[in-house]
Amino acid sequence: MPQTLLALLAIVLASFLALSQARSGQNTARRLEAADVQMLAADAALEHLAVLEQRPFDEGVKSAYISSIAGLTPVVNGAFVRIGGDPPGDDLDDAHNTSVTTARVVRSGQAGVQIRTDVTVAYVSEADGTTASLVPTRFKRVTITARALDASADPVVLTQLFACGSFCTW
Amino acid sequence: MQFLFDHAMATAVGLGLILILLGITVRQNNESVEISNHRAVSGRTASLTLMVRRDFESLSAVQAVSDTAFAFSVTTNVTTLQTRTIEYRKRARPNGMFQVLRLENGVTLPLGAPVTAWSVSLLTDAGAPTAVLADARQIRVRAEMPPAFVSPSSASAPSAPPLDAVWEHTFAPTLLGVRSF
Repeated sequence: MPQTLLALLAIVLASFLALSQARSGQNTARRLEAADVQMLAADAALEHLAVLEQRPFDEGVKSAYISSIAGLTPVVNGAFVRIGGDPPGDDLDDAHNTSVTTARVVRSGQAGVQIRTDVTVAYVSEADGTTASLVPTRFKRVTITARALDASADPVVLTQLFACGSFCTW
Repeated sequence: MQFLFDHAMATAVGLGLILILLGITVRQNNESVEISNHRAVSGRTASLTLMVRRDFESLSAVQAVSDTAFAFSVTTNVTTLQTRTIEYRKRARPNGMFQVLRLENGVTLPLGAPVTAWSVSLLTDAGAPTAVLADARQIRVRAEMPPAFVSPSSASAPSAPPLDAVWEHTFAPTLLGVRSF
């Protein structure tokens, strides 16, 4: 009888080990997949940032130099106000609160992972380049958040500061 | 044999335990191979893409495109507009693999480990493919890397072969099609 109990105990222990190992294997696979998806998200964010880098700092400096702060796009209640013939999507602040979703492939032959990139743009203080400003300044901060829609991976956040530079002559 | 029959229960339990432990060992081995594979492929991808990123981000003009070669100018000094020409080629290797080569000033440098696929395509501002060099505003580079190792489980299950890792990036070089006023 004691031998039978010992044998049962051994089997239970071995089964417990096998189950823990299987769970550990699943966790490892999930972590590796999450790392891959985060790489995709980072790539998507970098691509989006590169596209925004090609845009003019502001509608006001698209085709001319400006000599006062009044030439920059104003902000009302945290939203950029497009004035006159400012077409959408042709300068930096037009990207504020926009989203783009793209499909990206981790492994050849697999279905794509949907990555959504959200963009926010804000004027920031000229003194420190970080504090959000409610009035126009010569600095804008672009924040891009990229996340996978159908996979469990932490989002990737990129931030870049853009300056008006020599286009703002004051 | 007499001993085994006399201790049938103990023999069965012993065999069961050995099988369970064997299964654990095999799974642990496969897990280690998967982790090593992931790290190795990540390293290979990084060694291939490091130079690619640097070159394509400072691309200023596309010179020639073909199935096996991509030549372009890179601006090295924006004040003097000094440029240099770089070319990427893919050379076929055995087993359907390709070696990516980088040519500059007559120096040929193999980039990273061999890949299973390599392509460079031109895109317009809107992201549509184009063959017209002057219309190109974005460049999409795609490479597929084979697994560094094959785990025993995937080797014994040919219906589920290990898949190639895909790296794809669309570059929007600031100096390509730069606006001026």
